[in-house]
Amino acid sequence: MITIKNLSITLDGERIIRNFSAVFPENQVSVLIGKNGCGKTTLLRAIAGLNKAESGSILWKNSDLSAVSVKKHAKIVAFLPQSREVPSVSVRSLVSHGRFPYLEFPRKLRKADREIISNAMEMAGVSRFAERNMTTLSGGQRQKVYIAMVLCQDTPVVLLDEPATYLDISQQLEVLEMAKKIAAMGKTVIMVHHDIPQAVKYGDNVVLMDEGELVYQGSGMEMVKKSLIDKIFGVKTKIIEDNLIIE
Amino acid sequence: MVKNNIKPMFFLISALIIVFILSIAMGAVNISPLVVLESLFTGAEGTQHNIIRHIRLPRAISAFAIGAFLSCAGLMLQTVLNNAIAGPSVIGVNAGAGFFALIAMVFLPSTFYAVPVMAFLGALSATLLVYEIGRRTGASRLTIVLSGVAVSALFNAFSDTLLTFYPNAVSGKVSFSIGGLSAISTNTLSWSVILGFVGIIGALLLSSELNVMLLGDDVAHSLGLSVKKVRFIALVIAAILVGAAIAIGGQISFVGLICPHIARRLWGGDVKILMPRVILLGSILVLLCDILSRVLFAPFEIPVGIILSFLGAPFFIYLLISRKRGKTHDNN
Repeated sequence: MITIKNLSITLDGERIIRNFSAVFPENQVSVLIGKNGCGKTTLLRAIAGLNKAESGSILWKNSDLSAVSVKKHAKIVAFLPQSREVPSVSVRSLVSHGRFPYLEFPRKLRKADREIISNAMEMAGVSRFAERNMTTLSGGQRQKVYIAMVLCQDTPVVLLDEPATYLDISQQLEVLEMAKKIAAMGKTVIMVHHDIPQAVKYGDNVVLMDEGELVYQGSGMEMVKKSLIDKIFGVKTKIIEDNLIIE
Repeated sequence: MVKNNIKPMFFLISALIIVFILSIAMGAVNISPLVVLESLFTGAEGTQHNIIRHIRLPRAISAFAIGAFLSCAGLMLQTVLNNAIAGPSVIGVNAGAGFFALIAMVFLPSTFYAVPVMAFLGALSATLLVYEIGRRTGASRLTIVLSGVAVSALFNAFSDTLLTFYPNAVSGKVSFSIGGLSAISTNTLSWSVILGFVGIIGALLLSSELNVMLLGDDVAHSLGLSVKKVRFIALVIAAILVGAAIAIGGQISFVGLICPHIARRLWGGDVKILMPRVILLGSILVLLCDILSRVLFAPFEIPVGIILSFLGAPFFIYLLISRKRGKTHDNN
């Protein structure tokens, strides 16, 4: 579980996150939603240790994440940014980077590491193209490979920044299902997602942000019923047979 | 992976041995490869053996070392700057090393280790300068290259100023500024080889970390890598390698650009696999070009730097065009 207390972040002189507090439980997919520029990615990057807090704290099991070393942090939090490089290496090689935080010099993979790599590839559905070069894969396949790497990192907290962007609808649903599977492993999954109906459907815990502040946290449907989406995004919503429709 | 690694390494090492022996055997006077082997492995005496031991062997070692150092530095720079066209000569590292080496030649002519040490300091200054300009301006691929153009021009202007004021202080200054192996100083060679060897060991030890850096700064950090620290260490090692190479043969260009690219085309982008192969490939390339520089217009010799520029400049243009068409980023 990740607990954020009174977090404020300023980047380049601009306050992006304002006195933000929220709880992200394990076994759940928490989805951060909000308008562009509301601070979702800044918040995710702060949990990943990439943005420094001006004030407040980010706690994992009551220990302040800003106080742990980079290496220890990598054993607690895995982060998949929205924009990724595509190196010309095999799928297996890329996935194996997930074991990097656990390898001491000279960073040779042990038998146990190889098993974890195989299992992660199996779970992410990339085993059948394990020896292919990353550059030859489609966007959806690459995304799955990166998710396999995150699984391989074997952390209790997984951060995904817009993991379904640039993917077709079937690939989007596959990635969202995978996020559910990861959460079901007892992990805390925090994801930035732009598609609100999908966020409501797949998010166990929906966190709505506006101008760096927390607007709502809880069930997606409750949020819709309170007309918060209408208010923040300036759209009209209705619920038909438990599905959110945006007009 | 081990199995897959044996074939290319066997091929490269065999090719290197053959080219190394040919490089000693070929020249104004051709010598039989058997005599070369006899000279290298026995204490045989005679004119040909003297030529081999005192002229050809130091020259072949120089070409071998320069190729290894520059290509290794190129791979490191391209990886940590996340820029496939960041060869040491392209981004001004050679020019920085050259200027500082000239200072040593002019003001400390009898201190043998001064040239490689100063060349290292010059390479480091140029590397950090380009990196800092790139970082402050967004570090796009183009910015790094443009910063390199500016830094190169600046250091070359310093070098020209120095040579204008001290025209007779540096023997073989033309060869130095183009890059040549006809006037090797064995003392400088020994110091440079030691310095460069330290750099090669450092580069090989850092290859796992460099591999993680291929994933981008954010992912690398998320995997527990101290990105800034590793990048700084890599830049220092690259500067050591370029400094050592420039101290031996002057401003030889494009090796650090060409070899990593050929290697990536042949064997993919895994730095751990590439590093030893790029080092061997660099040595083979410079040895081959050095042979060409001696036999093309024999008995006249042209500096090896000219041959490499004739190869490297079109290659650089080709890269610029293909990078524009190409796609290296997931979301481009």
